[in-house]
Amino acid sequence: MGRVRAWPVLTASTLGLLLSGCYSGLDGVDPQGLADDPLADSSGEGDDSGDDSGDSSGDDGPEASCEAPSVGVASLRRLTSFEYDNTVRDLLGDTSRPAQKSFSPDEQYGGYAANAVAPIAKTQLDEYTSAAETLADTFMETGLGDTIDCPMADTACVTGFVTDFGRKAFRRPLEPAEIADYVALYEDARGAWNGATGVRMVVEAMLLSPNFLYHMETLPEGAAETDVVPLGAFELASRMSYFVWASMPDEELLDAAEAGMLDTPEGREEQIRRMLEDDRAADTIASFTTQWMHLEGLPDKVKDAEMFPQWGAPLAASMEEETLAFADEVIRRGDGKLETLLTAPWTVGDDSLAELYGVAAPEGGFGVIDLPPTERAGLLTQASFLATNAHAAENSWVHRGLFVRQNLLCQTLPAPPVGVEVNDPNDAGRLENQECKSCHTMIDPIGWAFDDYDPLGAFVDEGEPGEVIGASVGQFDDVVALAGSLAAAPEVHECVATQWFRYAARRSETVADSCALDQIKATFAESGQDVRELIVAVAMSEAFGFHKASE
Amino acid sequence: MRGAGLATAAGMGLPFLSSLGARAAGDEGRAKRLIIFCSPNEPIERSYWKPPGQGNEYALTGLQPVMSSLEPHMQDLLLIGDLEMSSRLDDPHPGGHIGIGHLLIGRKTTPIGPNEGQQWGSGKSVDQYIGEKLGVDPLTLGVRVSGSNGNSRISYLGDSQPVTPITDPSVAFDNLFADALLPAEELAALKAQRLSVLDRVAGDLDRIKSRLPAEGRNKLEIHTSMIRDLELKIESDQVFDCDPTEPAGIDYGSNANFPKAIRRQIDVMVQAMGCGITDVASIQLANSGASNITPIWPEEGIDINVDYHNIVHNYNNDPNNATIRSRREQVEAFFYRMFAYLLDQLKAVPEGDGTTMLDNSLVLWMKPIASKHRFTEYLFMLAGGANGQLNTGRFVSFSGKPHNDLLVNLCNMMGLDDQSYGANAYCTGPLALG
Repeated sequence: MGRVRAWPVLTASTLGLLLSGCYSGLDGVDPQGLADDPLADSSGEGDDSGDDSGDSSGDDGPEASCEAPSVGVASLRRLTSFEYDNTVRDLLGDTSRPAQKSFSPDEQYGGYAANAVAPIAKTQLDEYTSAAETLADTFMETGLGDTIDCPMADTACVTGFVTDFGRKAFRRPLEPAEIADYVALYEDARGAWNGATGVRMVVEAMLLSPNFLYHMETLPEGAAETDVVPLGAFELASRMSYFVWASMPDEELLDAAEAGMLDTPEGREEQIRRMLEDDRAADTIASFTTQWMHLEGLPDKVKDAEMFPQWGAPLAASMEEETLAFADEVIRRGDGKLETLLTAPWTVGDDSLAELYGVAAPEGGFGVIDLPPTERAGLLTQASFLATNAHAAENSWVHRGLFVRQNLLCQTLPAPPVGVEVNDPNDAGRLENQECKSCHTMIDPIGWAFDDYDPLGAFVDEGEPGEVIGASVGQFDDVVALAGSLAAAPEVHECVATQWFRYAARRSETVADSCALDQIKATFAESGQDVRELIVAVAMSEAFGFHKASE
Repeated sequence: MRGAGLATAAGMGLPFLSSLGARAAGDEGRAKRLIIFCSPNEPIERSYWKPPGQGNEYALTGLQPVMSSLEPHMQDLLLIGDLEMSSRLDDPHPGGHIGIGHLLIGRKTTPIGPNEGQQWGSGKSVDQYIGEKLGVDPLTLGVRVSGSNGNSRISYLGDSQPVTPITDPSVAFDNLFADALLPAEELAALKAQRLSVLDRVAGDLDRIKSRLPAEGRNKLEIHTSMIRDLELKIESDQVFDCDPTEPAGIDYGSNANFPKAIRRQIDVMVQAMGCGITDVASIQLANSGASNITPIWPEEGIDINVDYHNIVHNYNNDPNNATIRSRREQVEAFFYRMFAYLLDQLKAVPEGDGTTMLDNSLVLWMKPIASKHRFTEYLFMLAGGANGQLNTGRFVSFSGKPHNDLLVNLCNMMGLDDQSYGANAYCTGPLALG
């Protein structure tokens, strides 16, 4: 892979100009966060306003007042596949993960699976119907014993079941009319067939109910569409559990909601911290990390068979597991620090990864392994990231560089103009070409630094030491140095806070969210970038407890 | 035997959205059915698809070598060259592949984010429109259609209302036929139970709807209409006078089984039509960019360890490189072979009076973008006799005409007298197909 390393040294001033060139004249595109470019400016005076404008879209809009609760517009969302599977696990004890196996993919919004825009389609209804029938059958055979311990031919018995099971399935107590409707469904079925069939049909209907399938947040009576309205206690409990656990509330959380304990910040925080200690928090950390690091496409990645004979589903699975186990180790059992995520000279790997990294294999499957600190620094040097953001036989400056821009600095760069043919994936000529260079000078030099790692993530040391390829975040001469600079950059801290906000809200932030987001960023900073405190801060932010349906 | 309240379902005056199996009156003078075949990405440049001949309109005497698998069907084909996608040329949304959301709609897309793929089609697609007018429920199939975004959908019920394709032939088969294969008594109980459950769900939808803001209410209205459709389908007591063959149970989602999955989806589609379940269907191969398709298919005589997306780009960058060119040609030939397989299957089903299913059908072949990621100089193909309405065995060029015009022809040949489709600004009326 010999290539000429002939990057121009990019100075702060030239890159600053090029930045504006990258997003000028783009119709219908609202670039985010390009004003503050930590990779561009070392003088500390690059931004003309100096205000905190780097992270939200529409910065030129009116500043939101922080006196009254303010929150961006959110739409009605269906559960994601991951949430569905976790919810049936916690509701029914069913670990078959039907959504992962057979549901159509989730629609993304704001960078995370959301199911927020398109309404349900017929195929999805068929998927839900089929899953509900199977889940209800299995529940009658295996899970019911713990839930119902009275005769299923008895209406009083089943009324109790509808009341208790319904409260979990709908994540709120059922209204008397709802209980009556479900009991009627049961009684009709008992008349036609038998009591057990009636109970099964109740379970099936609840699994198909909108109260189960959607994150239901109602408009309080008398409220206007455009009002910022507080969530009901049970709606808040659901938001909390789907954020911290990616699943339904447990009994204790529902009880706390019912007892009004979530109405006070103390009560809310107590529950959030309890949930964060629970193992189910691992699901949210995994879900966030998978989506933030773009790991979904890893198993489908194609690698050149001659160059990388070891590539295949097992290695891809190990790579994915490495990153998720590493994130979990840092956030739930380690110091929780973003700096550790971005710079740790160790990982959690198995023998296949140890071989790739050129270190001794851990004993017995996955374990913590130390890595050469001159070669490896946290997430950006993990094989999952490097392999995902590379082609079959070549690295991708664009994918690797764009990731840093978009996911660590929260900058949105436009797609190439319509009709532009993509050149050689790694073509230094793009920096000379007038049409390409305004954006590619932001992307390619970062991606180029990653050429020390091959398309599978092995260290190959392509770089000549001391080469300066980017000015500021300080200058960096390899990815380990880049990772260190990023870990220390306030823009990265703010972006990671923004990413967690987007994950929680399942949408992009708007100007109406800026008070909440500023508070979240401040709390994250005060904690020394402790991701656990960031999760608490998001769930504790005032906006988290409010809903707005329309502008 | 039915749960309480079900009797009311039919009497509620709900829109009769799907009357499965029902045929609109007067099949004469129109194609019996419409089949849409969406091949991914782009064709190779014009010299690879413009058949040998002179002028803007001529009879076919042969096809280009990459399309040779279609030669046995030459007299079934009308090649339509050089249309442009005017709505895409006007669409400010970025990305090379978003033409897929224009194909059957003919309108600019609706953005839901700033990046490629973060958009939805913005109107009813022509397959859904024709299905609605004919009173049939279109069958929407796909194979390895990754993601759920504007680059992975062709069919829409309306603005930002994509139709999700069924991507597994076994699931498609079960949805269409499994119930009908059950013993009558078991089926009757199952239907009654399903209707009771769905009726309860519809009740829940009605109760919660009124407490939601308009945005959520609208979504639940659509959800309710889907439930009602499902109830109607269950109630329809459809009897099939056919004996469908179930596809073997393999992993149809894998890259390795992509060719098998295409053939089995085509089989299921042709059987569904032969059994009279629907008259409108589409099959979409991969998403627009098709980067998750890697032609390592030795049984197809093709073994290239580069994904299709990059095969296309590599060729466009370096068309004179023999290896790269050969890869490009092999993959393109493969996708034409899959289309030929569809035509083979349609031709194999006799339909009385010495005609075949192909003679009575109208088949559209399309790709989301034109050569070199442009939106001009498209290739479309129509196939089948369309019940005597299509003059095949020809090539015709409509240089610069908007592709919306072709969508009008589809409507007309399916018995509808529309004179425009999609946004009026991008439509000049039906093409003079001759």
